[in-house]
Amino acid sequence: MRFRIGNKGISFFLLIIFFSILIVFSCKKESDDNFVFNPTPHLFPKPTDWRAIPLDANNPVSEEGIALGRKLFFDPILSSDFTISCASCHKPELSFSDDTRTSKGVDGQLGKRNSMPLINLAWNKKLFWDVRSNTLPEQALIPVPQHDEMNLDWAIATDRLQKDANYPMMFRKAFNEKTITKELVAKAIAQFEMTLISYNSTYDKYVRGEVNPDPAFFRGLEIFRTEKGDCFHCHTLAAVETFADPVRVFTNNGMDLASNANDFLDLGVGKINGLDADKGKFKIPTLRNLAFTAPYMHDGRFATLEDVIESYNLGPKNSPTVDNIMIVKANYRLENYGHYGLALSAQEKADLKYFLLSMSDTSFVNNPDFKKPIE
Amino acid sequence: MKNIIAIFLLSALVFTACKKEVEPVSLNVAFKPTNKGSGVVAGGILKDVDNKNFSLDEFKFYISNIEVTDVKDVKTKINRVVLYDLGVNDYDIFYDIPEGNYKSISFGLGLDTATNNTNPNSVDETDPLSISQGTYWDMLKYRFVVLEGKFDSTVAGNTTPNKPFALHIGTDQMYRTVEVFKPFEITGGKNYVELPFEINELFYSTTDTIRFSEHYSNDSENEVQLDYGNRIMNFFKNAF
Repeated sequence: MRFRIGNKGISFFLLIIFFSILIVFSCKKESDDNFVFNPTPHLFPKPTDWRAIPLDANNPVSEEGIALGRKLFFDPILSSDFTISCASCHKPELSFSDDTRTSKGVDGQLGKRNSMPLINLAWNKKLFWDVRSNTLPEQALIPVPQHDEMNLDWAIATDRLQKDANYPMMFRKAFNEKTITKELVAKAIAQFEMTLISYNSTYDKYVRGEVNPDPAFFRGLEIFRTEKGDCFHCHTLAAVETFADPVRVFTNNGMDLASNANDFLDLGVGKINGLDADKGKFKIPTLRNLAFTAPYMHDGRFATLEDVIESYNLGPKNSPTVDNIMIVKANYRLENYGHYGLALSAQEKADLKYFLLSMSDTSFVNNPDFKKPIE
Repeated sequence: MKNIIAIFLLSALVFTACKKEVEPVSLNVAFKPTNKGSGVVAGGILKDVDNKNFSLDEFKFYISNIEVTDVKDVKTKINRVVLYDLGVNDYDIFYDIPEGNYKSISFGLGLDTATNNTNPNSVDETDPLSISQGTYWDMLKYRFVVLEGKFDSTVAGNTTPNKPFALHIGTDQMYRTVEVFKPFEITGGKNYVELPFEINELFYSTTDTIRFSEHYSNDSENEVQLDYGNRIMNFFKNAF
């Protein structure tokens, strides 16, 4: 039996092959061979007189990385019961802090410390209240498996992301990697966090010569940067990105009385490095956006700025690790002026509060680029 | 014969290739605080002028306008600011100084007015004048000398230092110039000059003494503090 194929038959046969190829290619996943890795570098703002942003050579920031990090930051997929995201405790409208003393993790478990605001993090050499992390990606690895935070094993987290409809391609675009790892998740979140830059407070505008603040601002500034208020030893105004001493980084600010270094309720830095000399010490926090970041201190003990100022006004409580300079100044005041604390008047306290609030940046908390992305 | 010449040339080539890189000529200067003949270590027990215990946790000071003078009175200026930091930098290394015999080294203790007006955010992070060094306050500018530690406030003064002190000295008026006559030679490679000074000599002269118990807090903020600051800088100038 012989088949004869005419011209029409050949044309039909070729057509079939053509469509078959077309179908095969159209079914091909986007992530395969045609993918071209071409991340768009992110351009950071450079406010006048600021230090250049310290970039991480191991994690170049791209628009694709930021988009991925932002999605991850707001996505509860990284918690065991799909209820908690990074943004649950770091709310954009609160300058990425929380309004409770300590935040709730999965199953309503309360954390141990107050949620730190996320502002100008690239200029921070140490992260967390107990300075346990040196880099943003290192920091981002910690909350996911933490039982009282997101309580999810990293293996499960990355598996979820790998099986998601969108994440694999987003990781490919950001890092040119098909396999999602916890390190890549951390890098992406770090890239988003790098963009959380605040530089439009009244104080910033005053430094740039854009505004002329009222007298209360200048009275508060004078209290802040003299021994009257004695804020400047820990909060360096010229370190404008953070308003924190770039060298000392952490200290014991005299909030707790203790006769022994192990008496502190929270051992802070000392628990991480094992040094008695660092027990009861915590990171010197930024003073930016205080208008949005109450309650204050590592344990959120102070509900208002007035409470904070009043505590300093009373003078440092003694302990084996209390900040030496605070004690020097308190002793000096006592021996020379008869008062151990600052002895600020009601007006001076109000002026200091006014100045502290001038470091808050409304445009930062309203920035649409920092909000939950629209799906 | 041709083979011998080829071997000779090859050998010469190998030897040339193995030749070590010539070390650049450098002057390595060390500021060496001492205490009663011993070295000073951060946190270690030291003895003050009255033989009472004290300790230093932090000791920093700026050196600027360094100049070396050779035996023919030719001066070479070193355009670098140095931030001495106890326990951090042993030697500060300077290049581009001509080889020869020198008779003195001069420097400024602190920063001259122009340098003191540097914007600390405008320089590289590793620069001694960077805000990252933690020496700059916006109202004072650079702290020329930072001395922090504890002293023994008991009468005997022979127990563990218990009372903290913090002396932060700055403002333009604190700048002092020093010339140390000390012969040294700069030849090929590394050359070393040590500038020892007794730490107690920051606090006394033959006619004047400052004790921690009397003066333990200074932010160069008012006339009294500035007066103490000036006295300490005068002592420091004469300590070398």
